[in-house]
Amino acid sequence: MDQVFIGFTSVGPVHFALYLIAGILIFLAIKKEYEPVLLLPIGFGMIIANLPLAVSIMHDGQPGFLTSLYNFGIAGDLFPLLIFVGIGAMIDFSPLFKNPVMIFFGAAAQLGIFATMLIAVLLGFDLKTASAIGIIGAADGPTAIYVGSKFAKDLMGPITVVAYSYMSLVPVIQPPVIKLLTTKKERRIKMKVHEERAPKLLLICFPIIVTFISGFVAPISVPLVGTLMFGNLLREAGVVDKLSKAAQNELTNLITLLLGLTIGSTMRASQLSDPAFLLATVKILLLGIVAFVFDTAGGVLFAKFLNLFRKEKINPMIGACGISAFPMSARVIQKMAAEEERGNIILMQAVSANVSGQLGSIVAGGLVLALIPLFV
Amino acid sequence: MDAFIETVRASSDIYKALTITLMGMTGVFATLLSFFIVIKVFEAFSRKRDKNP
Repeated sequence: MDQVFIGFTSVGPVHFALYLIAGILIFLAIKKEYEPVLLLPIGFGMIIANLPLAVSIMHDGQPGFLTSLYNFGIAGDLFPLLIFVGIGAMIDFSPLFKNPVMIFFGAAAQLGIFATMLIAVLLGFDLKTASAIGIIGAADGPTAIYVGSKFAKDLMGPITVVAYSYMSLVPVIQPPVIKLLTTKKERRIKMKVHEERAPKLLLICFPIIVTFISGFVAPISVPLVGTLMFGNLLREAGVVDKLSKAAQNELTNLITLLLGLTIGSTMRASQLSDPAFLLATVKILLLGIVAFVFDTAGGVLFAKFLNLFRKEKINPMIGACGISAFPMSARVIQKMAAEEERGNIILMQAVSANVSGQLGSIVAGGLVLALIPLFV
Repeated sequence: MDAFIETVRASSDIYKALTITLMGMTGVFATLLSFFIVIKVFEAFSRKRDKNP
């Protein structure tokens, strides 16, 4: 008789607590539209992985479909890398080529990664886990998953959810930090628009050259940079439009769907009864904010530093766009600029910095992957 | 270089994290600087070609 009701008797209060959390994620996705393409599959993945007997995880000693997806897509790195092909096909580097100096904001705004790693170490995390948490500061979901799967498998669920959640909160996090670090006069700075067209040869050669450079500087970053740049080459080559569109749409959508389900399945009810895991999750939640605050501060302060030497001043708010959250950050900054002074258009420069942020985040991710094993 | 790596390895986690921070930020800036140079070289080449088509 027990076998008949095994579905009801094999779950406890922690399972229901997890269903509640999954419900909140699904609610946020549908009602508030916070990163719905990811939070919705994550929430549902949490539910099906934690239903009685967890058949989708393991059944009769055989891996269930979610375990197979995990082994193939996360442990085998394929999901984040295939998403990078899609992202690469979506990126247009031409605004950056018109304002090449903006590329340095993509470097400055990676400060959040390293500052968060330092603080995570101070909070008691080991260096590998701290670096995986720091990668939230890349503001780039696939990079966070890629690094997390290498250095903090047990905490991948919270790291991914926090990374994507804070990315959708960029419009809330960035403005107060920018206002704190800049004067009204600085926020009103107008910038000249460069109208010249980016050379076609550069658009085609850039992804190839970047892949070579990254391969020599940090060989371990090649999967990250190589897939992103391959996607971009599909876009710019001009002869494989069908492949480029498939990468931007079908490939990205399908992998995002599978990725969300799989990440959701890594969060198990058993973890909720582990106080150490709960404490780590709370710390990751707090460190996520730290990461985005330092990202923003790094970019803004670097812009102010550059202005000390430049005749043609840069609106320091542009520095905050050096994160990878594209195009949200650029939109937020343009909105702020227009609010400070009607008609002030800095969108082109903001997009340039934002595109640089995508380059900077994968380079930083690659460097973290290269440096951590060197010293641990 | 090996001696430096060994020294850092033998140190505390916070010292290692500081070292990684310095090397990481320098590495990101250096790599993006190399991309900047690539863009500038192409820009100069394209300008020259436009002048003498």
